[in-house]
Formats: sequence, structure tokens, C-alpha cells
Amino acid sequence: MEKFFQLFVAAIALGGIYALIALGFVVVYKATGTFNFAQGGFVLLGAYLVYQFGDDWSLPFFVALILAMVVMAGVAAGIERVVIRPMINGPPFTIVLITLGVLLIIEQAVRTLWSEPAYVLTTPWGNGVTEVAGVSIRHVDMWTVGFATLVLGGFFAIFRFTTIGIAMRATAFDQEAAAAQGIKVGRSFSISWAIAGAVAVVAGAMLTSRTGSVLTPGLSFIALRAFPAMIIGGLDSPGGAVAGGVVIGVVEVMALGYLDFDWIGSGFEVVLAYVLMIIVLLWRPNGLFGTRAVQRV
Amino acid sequence: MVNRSDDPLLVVTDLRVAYSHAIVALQGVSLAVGRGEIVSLLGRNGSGKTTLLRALTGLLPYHDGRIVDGEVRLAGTSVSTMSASGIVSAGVAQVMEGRRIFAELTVDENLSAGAVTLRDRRQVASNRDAVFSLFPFLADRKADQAGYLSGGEQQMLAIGRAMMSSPDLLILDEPSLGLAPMVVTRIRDIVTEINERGATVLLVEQNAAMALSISDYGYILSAGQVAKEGPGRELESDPRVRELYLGAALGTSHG
Repeated sequence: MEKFFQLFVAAIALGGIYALIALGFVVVYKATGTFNFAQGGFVLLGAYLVYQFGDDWSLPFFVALILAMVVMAGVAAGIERVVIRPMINGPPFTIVLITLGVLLIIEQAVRTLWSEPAYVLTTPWGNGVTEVAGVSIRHVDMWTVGFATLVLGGFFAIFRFTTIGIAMRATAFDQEAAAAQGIKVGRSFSISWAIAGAVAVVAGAMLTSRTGSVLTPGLSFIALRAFPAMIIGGLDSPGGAVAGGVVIGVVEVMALGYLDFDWIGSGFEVVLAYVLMIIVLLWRPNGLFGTRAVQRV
Repeated sequence: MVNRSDDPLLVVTDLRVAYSHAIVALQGVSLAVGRGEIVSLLGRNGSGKTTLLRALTGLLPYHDGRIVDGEVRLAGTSVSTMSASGIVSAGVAQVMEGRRIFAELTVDENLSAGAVTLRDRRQVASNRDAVFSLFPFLADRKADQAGYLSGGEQQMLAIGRAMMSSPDLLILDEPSLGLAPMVVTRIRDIVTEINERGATVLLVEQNAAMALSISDYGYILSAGQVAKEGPGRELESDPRVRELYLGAALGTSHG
């Protein structure tokens, strides 16, 4: 039972990270209909920016984190404005390939700007562990759960209750009708991408500061593990992204903890999320919370 | 009766609109809407009514269309090159054809979406009260998802949403389309009431009898041009108008 609780905390933490990444995908997909591969690049660049501001420039960690979020929000919004928006009426597949190109460019830029093969991100929690009733809980996992809750809660508060959130949802539902109300549709796009950039930083920093992790250009690939999360939750449902992320995190950690994959080869936990995705899609083709098609009554 | 020559709110001069640089949809339309008037815009399908509205409200880019020539002036200022949101801020709101409410949002959120151009929260609150006084049922159902309203209720929500920006000019595109006769009567009364509360109205309708019965003035579009214009009552009783442009619609709803 202790092992279960130990794994459970780690599972929720990883699920929280996947939820953040999946949310970034979903926010952009919902607002602009773009399947944004560059989200993995945002996670990657975001984590390197935290390293740059925190470890290299010696800013306090939380200052570095917030600064990186602001910068990434600007970078993501800038990318949307410069390379995505001019294509907005183009073939969807073209836009998807553009985002794939942006991902590759970001990966190469990171390799050029930070030439060491790996970096260690210094965090206030380090490798600390606390013993609670026989269960050892890693500090990084508690911080991760806290951060994920804060960021996701903040997002949903904005999305549900503010004028900006209403404008974003209205734009997602019907761009022309939104414009007819005076909503600045372009600004809704910018805000969606900025949010995707900012949440990616938190995900990247938490992924990199997990015990035993280092910062390498391979981070963007790990970020793509959140793909199944958004599919499972439903491409256009931010709440579903969170649910999907948590499900994937829990399955991955629990499977690693309890199941013996030796017979099938190591690394099966990596594809497990995709297996789960296929099973869910066979059962519910639009994901757990996705809408079949936008209803026009 | 408003003096039509005296400083109209909306003036359209020789407007030409083309889609995708090829099809010319409007070939030189001129019209005016005086302050405080209800003006109706009639014509058959494909005559250019909706295109004209798109040109007035900055929505042509959503349909690969553009103003090729001519001008739209609102209260003396050219709005021909303004964005849709700029035109709303300038005082024009519209009820689009097919209602186009945000079905996934609540009734209240739909109303909030109509008020995004306003900065003053008290103004938003008082506009909301005004909408609720016009449509009391919206107040009872404000937490409901808008997609669950009936067709007529959605039309009233769409009108309420447009009123949230306190427009000087309210444009309605086919507000009676697909609604039961009783609801059409209700919509007509609402348009009249909104006009009496101070908004100028430009009404696009296929239901010519309904539109002309409340209009000060009317324009009939045909093949992207103004084919005929005149005071509402005059058009209503013109046998050629009935025969050529309004089809059977006029006769039936008079009885």
C-alpha cells in the first residue's frame, strides 16, 4: 500500500505535466484549428530559458520561471502572427507541416545556443524527499502538483469567467460571428498561442527538474508523449486535456511500478500511452470529452 | 417622419463589391439611412443583400470579398476600410442571418460577447438590464447553454446580443427566417420597440410585408443594384413591386 501511495503522488505529478502540455495543444487547436507540433518545441525552449535566466544569469528560480513564461508567451504569439496567421485560410495540412518545421527550427536553435549536451536545472526543491507515514514523497512531485494546479486553475478561471475567455470561446465556436460582435479575432489567436507558450515553460521546467532528469534537446520528444493525452481527452476540450494528461501519467507510472515489461522489451511505458489512446478511440472516436462536430442549431 | 435629406446616419455611395477578384456581387449601390429611421432592404436570394451587409460591417474578408469601389460613411466618417471590430466600436451592431449565436456558451456569456467593445462596466450592466426588460425570458435562462433555446428564443438572444453594444445602427439580416408567424409578429414588434428606444434600424428581409409595414423607407435590390426605392407605404402598395420583386410574400401575410 505504501508503494501505491508513493507511486500515486509521482503519477499525479507526471499527469499534471502532461496535462499542461496537452492544454497547450488544445488551446491552440480550439482557437485556430491548428494541430501544433511546435508545442514540443515550446516546452524545450521554455526549459532552456529557465536554465538561462536561473542558472546562467543567477536570477532567483521563480523570477527565472516567470520571466521565461513571459518570453515564451511572446515567442509563441510571435510565431502565430508571422508564420501561421498568413496561412490561416490555407490547407490545414500545410499549417500542420509549418508547425513541424517550427519544431525542428527550435530544436536546432536550442542546440546552437546551448552547446553542451546536457544541463542540470537548479531548483529550490532539488532532490529533497519527505517521509510521510512511511511513504517517501519527492519534493519535486509536490511542487509539480502545486504548480500544475495553480496554472491549470488560473487558465480555467480566465477561460470561464473573464471577457478574454468569453472572447476566446466565442472565436473558437464561430470566428465570423465573433468578429461581428466586435471581438478582435486576431487577438484571440495571439492570446491562445501566448497561453500555450507560457504553460509549456512550466511543463518543461517540471519535466527537467524531475529526479534524475537533465536538460537535453531530447525534451521536445518527451513532450510529444502528451499527444495521446489530448487525443484521449478530446482535441477541442481543455478539461479533457487535463483528464487525458492525468490518465496518461497515472498509467505510465503505475505500469512502470507494477508491471514487468522485460518480456516485451524495455521502453514499453513510452508507447503505453499510445496503446491506451487507441483503445479509448475505438471506444469513443472523439475522445472522452471531445465534441463530435460543432453544433449549429 | 424623418427628413431623409437631413444628415443621414449611414450613407453608401456607388458601392461595388467583388468576391475572389472575379464575381462582381454589387455593381454600384447607393443608399442612405436617416437617423431614427427603419429602412428595409428587400430583394430575392442572390440579389446582393447579404453582400451589402458584409460590406457595411467589415465581414467581407471572411468570404474572400472586397470593396472594389465606392464608400460607406457612418455619421460622416468613412468606415469602408475599417475592421469588423472597429465598425462595432463605431456604433454598428448586426444580427446575422441564421442567428449565429454561440451555442456552446451560456445565454449570459452570449450577451457579454456582444458587449466586448464597451469599456465601462456600468454601461454593460445597464445594457444587460435593458435587454432583459426587452426579453424577460433571457433573464430566467441566463445560465442555460444558448444552444438549448428554441429557434425564436435564439433569434431574440441574437437581437439582445447585438443590443449589448448600444449601437446607433442596428442591422438585422432575415430575422424572421424560419420562424412561426406568431414569432415573426413578435420580432416585428421588438424591432419597432428597439427603434422607439432610439436605435436606427436597417432591416433585410424576404418577408417584405412584415418589413415594409414598419419601415419608413425601403430599397429593393436586384442583381447587385438598387432596382427601386421609396417610402415603405409606397412600395407596399406598388403593384409592380409586388409582382416583380416580392413574389407572393407580400400578398400572403397581409390577410
